[in-house]
Amino acid sequence: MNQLWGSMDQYHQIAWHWEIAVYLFLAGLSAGAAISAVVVKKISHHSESNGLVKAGAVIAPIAIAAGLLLLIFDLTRPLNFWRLLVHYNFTSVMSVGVLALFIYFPLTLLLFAATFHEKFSSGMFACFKPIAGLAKSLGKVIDALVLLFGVIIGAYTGFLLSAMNSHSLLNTPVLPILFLASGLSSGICANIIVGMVWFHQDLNINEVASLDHTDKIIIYIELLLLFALFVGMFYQGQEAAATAAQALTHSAWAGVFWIGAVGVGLLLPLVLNFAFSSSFKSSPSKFIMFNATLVILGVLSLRFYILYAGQMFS
Amino acid sequence: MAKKYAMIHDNNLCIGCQACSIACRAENKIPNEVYRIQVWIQGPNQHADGSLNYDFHRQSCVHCENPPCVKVCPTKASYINQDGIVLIDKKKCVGCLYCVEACPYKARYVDPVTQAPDKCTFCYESRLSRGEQPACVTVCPTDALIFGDLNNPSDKISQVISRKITYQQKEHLGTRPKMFIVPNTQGGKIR
Amino acid sequence: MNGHGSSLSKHWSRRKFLKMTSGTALTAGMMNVPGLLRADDIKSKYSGNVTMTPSVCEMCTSACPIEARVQDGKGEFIRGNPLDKGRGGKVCARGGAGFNQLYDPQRLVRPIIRVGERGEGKWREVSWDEAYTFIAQKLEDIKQKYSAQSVAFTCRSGWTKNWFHHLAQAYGSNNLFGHEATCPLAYEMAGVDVFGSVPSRDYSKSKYIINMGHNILEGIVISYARQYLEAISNGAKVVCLEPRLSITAAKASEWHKIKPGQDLAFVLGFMNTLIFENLYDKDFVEKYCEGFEELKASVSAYTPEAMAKDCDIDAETIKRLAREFAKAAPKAIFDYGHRCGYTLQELELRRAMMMINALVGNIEKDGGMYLNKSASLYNSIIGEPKAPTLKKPASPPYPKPAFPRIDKIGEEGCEYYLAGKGAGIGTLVAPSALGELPDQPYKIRGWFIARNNPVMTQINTQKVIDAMKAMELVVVVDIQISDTAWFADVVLPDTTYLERDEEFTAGGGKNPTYSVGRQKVVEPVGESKPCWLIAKELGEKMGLGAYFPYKDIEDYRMQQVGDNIELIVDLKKKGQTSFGVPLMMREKNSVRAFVEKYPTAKDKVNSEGLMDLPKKIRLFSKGLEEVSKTGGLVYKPDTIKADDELYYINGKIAVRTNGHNGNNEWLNHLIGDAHIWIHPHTAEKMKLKNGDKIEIYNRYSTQRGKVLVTQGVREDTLFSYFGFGTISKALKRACGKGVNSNFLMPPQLGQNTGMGLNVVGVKVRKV
Repeated sequence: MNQLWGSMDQYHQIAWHWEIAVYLFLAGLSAGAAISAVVVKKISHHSESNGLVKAGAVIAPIAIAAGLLLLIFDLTRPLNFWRLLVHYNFTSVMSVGVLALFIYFPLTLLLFAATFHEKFSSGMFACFKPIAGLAKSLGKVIDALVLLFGVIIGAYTGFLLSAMNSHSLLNTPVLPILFLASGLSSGICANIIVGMVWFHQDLNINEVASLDHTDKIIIYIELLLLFALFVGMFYQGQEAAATAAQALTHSAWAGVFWIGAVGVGLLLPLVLNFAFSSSFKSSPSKFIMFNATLVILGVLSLRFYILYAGQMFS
Repeated sequence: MAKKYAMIHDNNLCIGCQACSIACRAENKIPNEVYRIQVWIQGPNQHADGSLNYDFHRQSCVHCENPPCVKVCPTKASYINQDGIVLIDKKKCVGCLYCVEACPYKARYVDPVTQAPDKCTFCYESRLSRGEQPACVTVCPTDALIFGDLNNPSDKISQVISRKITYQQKEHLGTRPKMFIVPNTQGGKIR
Repeated sequence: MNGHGSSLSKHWSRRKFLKMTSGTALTAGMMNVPGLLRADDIKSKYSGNVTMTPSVCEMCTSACPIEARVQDGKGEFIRGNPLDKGRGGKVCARGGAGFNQLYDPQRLVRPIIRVGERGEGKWREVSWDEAYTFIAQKLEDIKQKYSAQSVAFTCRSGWTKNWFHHLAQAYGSNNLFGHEATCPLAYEMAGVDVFGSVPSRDYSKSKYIINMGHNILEGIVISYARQYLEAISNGAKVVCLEPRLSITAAKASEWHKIKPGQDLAFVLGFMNTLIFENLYDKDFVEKYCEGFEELKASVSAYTPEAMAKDCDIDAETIKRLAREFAKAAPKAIFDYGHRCGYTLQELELRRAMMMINALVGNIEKDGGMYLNKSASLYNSIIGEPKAPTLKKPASPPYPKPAFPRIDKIGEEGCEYYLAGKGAGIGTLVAPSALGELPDQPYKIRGWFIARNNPVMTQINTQKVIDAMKAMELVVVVDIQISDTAWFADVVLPDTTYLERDEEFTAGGGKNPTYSVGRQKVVEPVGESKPCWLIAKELGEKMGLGAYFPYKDIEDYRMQQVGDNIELIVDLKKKGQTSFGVPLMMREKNSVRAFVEKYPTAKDKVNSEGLMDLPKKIRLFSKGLEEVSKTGGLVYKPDTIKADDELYYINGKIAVRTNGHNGNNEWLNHLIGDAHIWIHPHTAEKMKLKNGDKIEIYNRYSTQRGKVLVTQGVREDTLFSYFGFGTISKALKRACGKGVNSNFLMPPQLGQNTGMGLNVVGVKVRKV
């Protein structure tokens, strides 16, 4: 039959665009960086003077702030964004997320202040000295809260999408864990890179290597989660199975998944690590940084893929 | 007593003429490029006996009793009113479009003028409040649409639902739509 | 003084009263049932100044009663008139888009005169007076140089004809045409020939309907569509025979893919079965029909076996359907269709369809067919003039034309004698203008076209355009620069139907009906004027003022109803009214109720408690036997396409009316371009897939379109919707989109009907 009921464009519109993909990526990265920073701080002897901790303390607030700005700009009524802070709906993951961000963002600032408290002793930022001092003295409480809210923020980005039963690629309990894991992975890698570039004098290469090793374990977990995600869809019934098949084979997004998320982000770092573990000794830092960059690109690809393929195929 | 407004779309009576779509556009002043309602004529589909027919799908909000759009809205701009109609308070809407994505029925679109999501309201603001039936029901040339209050047992809709076989779209999602479909039995039915 | 004054004040108060009741009929109708929602209840909920006016739709020609809502002077919403039972207060998509048409920026609202070549699209805006002067001058020139008859007048059915056919005859032309020869003419002629007038179909109570491409659910007439679905819902069997799966066919119990253009073969095989298997109603035929033996003889050779191959319906199916149909009779209808043009033997086809109904005796029976009871028929049954009739204002006699019409209607032995004078064979205008008609004392030199669009709706579009270009004057009255207006010298802006009052109309179904015609819902936009005013003002400019003896439309209406104030009030308030009770002359209960109400009709009741039909039904036509030796039914096998061609057919779509509203913004948004249907097997052979651009061509034209692969069409047939491929560049939304069917159609005209074909052979190539 002829299409005599008018344009169907409105059903093919993608509501959430690249800004949201980048936001999801940045939120996960911020949480991952904060979590790994706190963990390193706990297990390392260098405490907050550790370069990896410093990197995390820098990355966490900047990444989440940049992400939030993108989030606001993607609203179709951005001037109304303040209503998000006034009206709450506790069945809405987004609303709960706003509340969590409301707590998490200041926490990352406090983490930053505690980590760099000596920088506030004089100069133009001296006015923050009391806050920095307080943060320093409440260090352990802040660390615990950062850990808790880091996990919440990392997982919430997944819940945000998985709460929608309109899209079977998104509507899966695997997603929050996958996002938390890949966020953690990207956070670790970001900490490694920033630590090596800006804070290399405070770095212990063995700690970097062991963090890198942890990241590889997370990569295996991510592979397992992705496998579980699609196998799960395959058995969820015809509709979900068809969506899974489409999402894995159709359009450029299948390419982003296979080449970007899986190839560059997960398999290549593993393969490189395996194949070049001997040459790793000669130039360890550059190799680790290269690998970390691959992982971050992979995580970014995964966010783009899940968001776009999730919305397109339902 | 609160009402429980619902609608029946009878596939046997629907002829896909789009009178509903135009009436909705006129009454609710819908911008040209978007639709609160369309009727998709699907097919021809082949029956077991080899005969062919068309199915008619009313594409519009189904007014769930358990609406995902209301659940996900961060500001409660999307809400379900006392009469069971899912509405949008545009003042509260920030335009996150969570509801647009969360609707399993693709019932929502972004109004190009207000930039807020919009959808079928059963003509709540334009007609129901004046005691009139929704525009689509008012004009439907073949009476394929029935609108009424399920809480009122003597309402035509209650009687038809108890008499005819109906189904709701995507019932498995637990959304409990208040749009009841009488499945198509035309075509292939040797009387 | 006193007497004079009182008559004046009586007149004045009546006018004042009319004004008061016009346009705000809110309390009407539902009043007799207490407690129901009243229009007042709704009106009080609106803010601002709201009116709800009953009127009549004009988005197609079905003239459905509507109610239009206006808020603070702006038209907002149109629905069906809730007081109208037949249509249930409903309106279709086209009807709903009425205000969108009214406020369309692409609408014409000021007179324009051509400054470039015809069809070049160069115009200048002129005053009404300049336009009238121009037209009057040209008409006078043509009259002097040739004759008044050299100007043809083609008008939309109904109201428009009333004004401009009147003007035409006052001017001296007898060449009066409508859209009929492009649409219903053959069945109208058949109805006149067989029954004396076209009977109506009582679908809703029918148990068995045979439908040969009468696309009730896409070429929507709301009352038909409702009745049709009511019948189906009540378990009626519907058999559709058409080459493609329309929505109508999809709702049927059986769909048979009949070969395009070969319907007559099926109908004759069917009739042959009815007669020779003795399935017909012998008593009815004997009592009410004449010419049965001649008919029987004429169809004796057309056995189902002989016809099966031509129509591609096997003989057993033809026989089975005939037997089932006869068994269901009289609650059975063999639908005589609507849009004609299946075959060059169209009159034979439609007569045969009509006769089948007579053969099974379904006339004046529930679920069968019935004669339309206009006031005059109704009154003749009652025996007293009870039902009101509408009068026409008296006007001087028309001048007598010197020559016959181009179609010779009214002359002895005219082939087209069954067509009404106002219908005419409009398809002859172009051949006449191009000098192609044999022994013609004059050519058509001027064409006055009101609300008709021959460039789109007549076959051989190019010939119509060439003819217009050869003429000395082309005047078009329309609401937009239609394909036809595109080639005009002057285009006068008509008001849309929501901006004008019109004369009352009277008709009849099972009892007499009356309609307000149209009521002004909002003030006219721009300088557009209603046709009654254009005709009057132009007539006055031409010195024919005496033919228009009324001040305005209100005056005209009052002359129509005389002293029947009740009628005028009723019509203005309710939009429509009817008289008496429904009458089915061969249903006992109906006759009893009728006689109870009108005891004077008692003597019309026969011994069975029924009424006899007022006229014999003609199964053999002496008239046609005289003019073309086709008194019985004659079948001439016809090859429409060559072996290496596909059939191309077209049909109606629910969201656009033929040549009329394809450019309407809302409707055009629903579908701008109509794809060409092609069967999957055929598509595979030609390596075509959905959305491919193709050309369909034959020796008459080449048209472009996109492919829609669907099982809903025969393998040897292409289908697309009619009303696409607009030429006029002034209709920006529709221009150039889709297949313009009539470019492709062959030039032959049907015997006795002058109708063209809607089926032709074409080839396909990928672009």
